[in-house]
Amino acid sequence: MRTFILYTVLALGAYLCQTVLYPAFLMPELRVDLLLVLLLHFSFTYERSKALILALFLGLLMDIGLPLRGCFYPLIYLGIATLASLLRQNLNLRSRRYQAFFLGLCVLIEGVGVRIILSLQDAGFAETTYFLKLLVWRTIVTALVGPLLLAGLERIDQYLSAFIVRQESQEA
Amino acid sequence: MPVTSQARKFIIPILIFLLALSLISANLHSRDNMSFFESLVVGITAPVQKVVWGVIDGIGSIWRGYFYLVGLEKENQALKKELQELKLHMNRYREADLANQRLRALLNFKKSIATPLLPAQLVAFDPSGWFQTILIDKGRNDGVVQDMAVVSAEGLVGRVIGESNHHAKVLLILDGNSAVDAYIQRSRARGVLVGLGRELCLLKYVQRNEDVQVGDKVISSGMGGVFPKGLLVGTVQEVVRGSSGLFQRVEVEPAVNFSRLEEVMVVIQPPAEEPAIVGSQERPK
Repeated sequence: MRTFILYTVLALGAYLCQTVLYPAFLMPELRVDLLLVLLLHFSFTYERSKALILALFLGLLMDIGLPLRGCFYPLIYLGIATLASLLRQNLNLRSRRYQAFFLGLCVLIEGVGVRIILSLQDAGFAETTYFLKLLVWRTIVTALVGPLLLAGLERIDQYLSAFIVRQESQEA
Repeated sequence: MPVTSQARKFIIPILIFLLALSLISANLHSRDNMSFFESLVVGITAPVQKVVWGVIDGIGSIWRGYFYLVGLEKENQALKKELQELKLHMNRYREADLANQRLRALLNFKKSIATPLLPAQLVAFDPSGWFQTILIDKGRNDGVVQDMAVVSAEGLVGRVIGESNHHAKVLLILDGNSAVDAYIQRSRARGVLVGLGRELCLLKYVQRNEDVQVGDKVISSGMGGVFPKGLLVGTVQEVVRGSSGLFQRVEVEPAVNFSRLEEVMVVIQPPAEEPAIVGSQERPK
């Protein structure tokens, strides 16, 4: 329960950051999807069912501001959470190199999904060159910055577990 | 008459007193020059006095300085606090002044447009960064419904694509999903203004033989029934006529500075048939 409350708070913080602070201070190319980082950390750490619940919540949060019909982001995030849970069993996703690769891959999946949806909506006026530039930059920036953010989240998790253990021992 | 011992006791101090008085009186006449004795004593003692006085004065000044600094530190803290408060007040006044200017511009704009307008505040931007949408603080309860046009004092902003009771989602004209029927104000050349996903739009389907020049104003045509006719959309930034093809490429810089957007207005009624306004506000740099 504590974990869910913490991650809900973190998700809301990340959402606020992306909707208010990012547009004010960051170029579109440099915007790292904090919700994606949060989801990946959760998928790497906790079991799949919990990760899927968080993916649904984060996806719905993202969908609030988008000009899309249907649950585009919940579907993308559910897919990413499933993939991360599957890979967790086979790959050492604690390795920062793997994390960077996987984060980059997820941004690519997200970008390609957006482009396909735009084309399906017959709204592909967004210039391909600009879109590709944006996609490449975001992939690189996420691959570089994402592992650091994941490390920060791991630290928060450690603090949380230490706190829980201390409380339980006190109660005992 | 023998002098008694009682009288001698008085005579000796009186004589000494008179002698001292006479010596002082004698010295009063020659104050410019010290006597040899005085010079000698002064010569020996003055350097020592000077050193001792210097030390004492130094200690005294350090002591006084310490207390002064303690006081100064307190005063400095108090002044800093006061300065912070004043800065805060000043910032608040400046913000109020800027808001006042913006609201005045909106009020003037509201007076000049025929259709009723509902002022709204920008709440948030699109969280994904792939699209160009905003969230405003007016919704269904305020009379906002889908496909209503959203404008600002500078020009056309976008249209409502979704609403809740208290908020509405607005698709900006910058988004790839957006399309506005528009024309060049000077030559009346028509086209469809679409977003490029960044702070630039493209006026598509403008025929090659149409007269379009850099700096021309682009105005909404009112076709399509969403946007009122005659709203300023932007200014032509670049015109490219290729060696082949039916159309020319016309890049348009939006009239609205979207990065500084704070207040907008929702056009509540459907657009009028006749031209309502031609936006005249300059885009703030």
